[in-house]
Amino acid sequence: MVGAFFFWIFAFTAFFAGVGVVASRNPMHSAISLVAVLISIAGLFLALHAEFLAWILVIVYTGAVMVLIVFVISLLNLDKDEPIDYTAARRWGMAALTMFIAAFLVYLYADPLIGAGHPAKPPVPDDWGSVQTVAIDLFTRYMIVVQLAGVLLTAAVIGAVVVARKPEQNEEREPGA
Amino acid sequence: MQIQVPEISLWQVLPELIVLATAVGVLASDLFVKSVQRVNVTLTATLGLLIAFFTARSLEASATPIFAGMVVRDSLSILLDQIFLAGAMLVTWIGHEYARRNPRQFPEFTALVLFATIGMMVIAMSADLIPLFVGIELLSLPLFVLAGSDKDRLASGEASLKYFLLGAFSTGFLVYGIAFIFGVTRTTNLTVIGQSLAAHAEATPLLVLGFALLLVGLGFKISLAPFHMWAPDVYQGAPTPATAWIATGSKIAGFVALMRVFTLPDVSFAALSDYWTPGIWWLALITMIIGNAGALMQSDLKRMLAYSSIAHGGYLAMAFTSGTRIGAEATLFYMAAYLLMTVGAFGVAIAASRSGQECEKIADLSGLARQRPWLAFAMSIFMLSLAGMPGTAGFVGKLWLFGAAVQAQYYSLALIGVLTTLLSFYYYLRVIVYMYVHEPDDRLLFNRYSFSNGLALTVCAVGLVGLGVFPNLLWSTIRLCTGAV
Repeated sequence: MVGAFFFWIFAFTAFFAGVGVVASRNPMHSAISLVAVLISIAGLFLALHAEFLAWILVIVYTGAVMVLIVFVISLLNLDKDEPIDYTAARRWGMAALTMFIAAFLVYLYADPLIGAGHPAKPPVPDDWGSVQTVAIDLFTRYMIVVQLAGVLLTAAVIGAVVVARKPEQNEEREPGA
Repeated sequence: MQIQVPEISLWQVLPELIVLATAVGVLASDLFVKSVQRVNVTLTATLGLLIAFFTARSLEASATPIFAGMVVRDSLSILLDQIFLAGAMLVTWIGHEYARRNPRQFPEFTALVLFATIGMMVIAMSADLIPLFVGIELLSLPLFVLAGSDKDRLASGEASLKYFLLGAFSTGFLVYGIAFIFGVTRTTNLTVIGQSLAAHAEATPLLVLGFALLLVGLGFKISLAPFHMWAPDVYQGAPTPATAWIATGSKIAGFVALMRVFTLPDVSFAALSDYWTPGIWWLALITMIIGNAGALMQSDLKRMLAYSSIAHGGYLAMAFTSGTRIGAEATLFYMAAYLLMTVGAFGVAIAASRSGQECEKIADLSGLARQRPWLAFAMSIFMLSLAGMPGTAGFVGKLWLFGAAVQAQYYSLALIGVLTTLLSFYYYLRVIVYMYVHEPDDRLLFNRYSFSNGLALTVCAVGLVGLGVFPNLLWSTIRLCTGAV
């Protein structure tokens, strides 16, 4: 019961904050709404006993990524952004499309055939989703994938250096220049 | 708590490790050796890739997945490793020539090409959707950067941004598709998914949506129409060696991912082929038509090659649709041929620069035959092979592709394929006409091309004619490989 209660609290917060992300005219308000979305989704994860995922979501997205986004918004001085003027037809068209996708997703998840005939779900162990079980999974079953993610990050760092480097800095290394 | 550590068989992934070490070594060699032409960078990369190539050759294939079922070192992955490593070597060589004129590119350029290569090799050996996804990311990220690495040209930045935004978007589709498939089958292991679906081949809407999203995500990577919009702009704007690797390595890896997920017999989604075949059928049809029709109208060489590469993606998808063993074999053979002719064509585009002026328009090739006869000769081979002239690997490959479609009774698809191929002769031959018939526009001489570029072009041209005359050299290996799977 307690779980269901928290689910509805967090689900409603996530939903309305999500609407806030797209509806607010001020990019800073959008960013703050996104923080609210992420925190409520972390709450949903907690309600599902996925502790590790919940904390990671808060630390990485709310803590690091959102701070960066807020920085970028302040640096670029975007708050005087002019709203895009859509025609009424386009506005209704987009609303209809969104509603259609939402209805389609509801239909999909309400499908009684989901998982039918496939091996039954094994019972969820008590410590499922804890930091310990996630760590064991990461370093046994998914070990090679974790290593590959390391390679991916290395490539990303090199790529970031290439992107960030100004052309002039390299001139002195050119022969005869 | 008992923790079971899976068997760690590092020697099975030795080629990947060697390429990783080479990528780091390339960066280090630039740090310590002050070479004017930075020959050391290209030499390090070549040496590392050669070692990795022969290591891959010497590996023993086994159909048993390793690393807790995440990757599999079967003969398919070994063959593809060799194709990717050879391709990376050719791209490094033609990139050396480009970097000589644009010294700002080095050496991160070569290192990023190598990182992308690791991503492709990971895709080739994936036995699970998770490493497949990480491999696709590892392939895409360096290519986004490579596309924008020429900072003097605005078009390069534009190409990078377009590629990045659409690539990130397509990644979203891919993850969503994987999530749906996981939701239905409760596993990401391709073998287990295959068994589960073979036992209960019931297409729930969720499952079909998962397939469709996966197809859209990978369709972006291999620029199947209607997900091809980014390709011409990115190919045109990116530095030419980067374009060559985007057009070949990335596209081949995308098809390999499709192959791993959709067709391998008895594994994976083959059980549900009735549901996904019509989708790929239509994509192949539209892609062949749009690619060839688009290429007809181009005056820019790289843009023309971009549309031609879209068209070739359509031919590959056509054989892929058949879902038969011969279809898979034809796809593999054509991948190798496509790699050689496309890298070669872009290599000529790099070599055929005049002083201070890159070759951009097809008209820029005017009079190439008079000043650089061998270059024009090589380009003729690449163009004829792309068009599918008998005597080249392009012809043999196309013959098998169409054969696979006919065998699977996709007559209309094969017919469209043949008709669009005939159409393609026009724009490929136009390049040859410009090189041999037209007079040079001005008095500017073509640059001398470097040894490394000449070597790459020679390998491509000899390989194409060799495979065209003796296709069994590669065909027998491919048959072994699909037979074992």
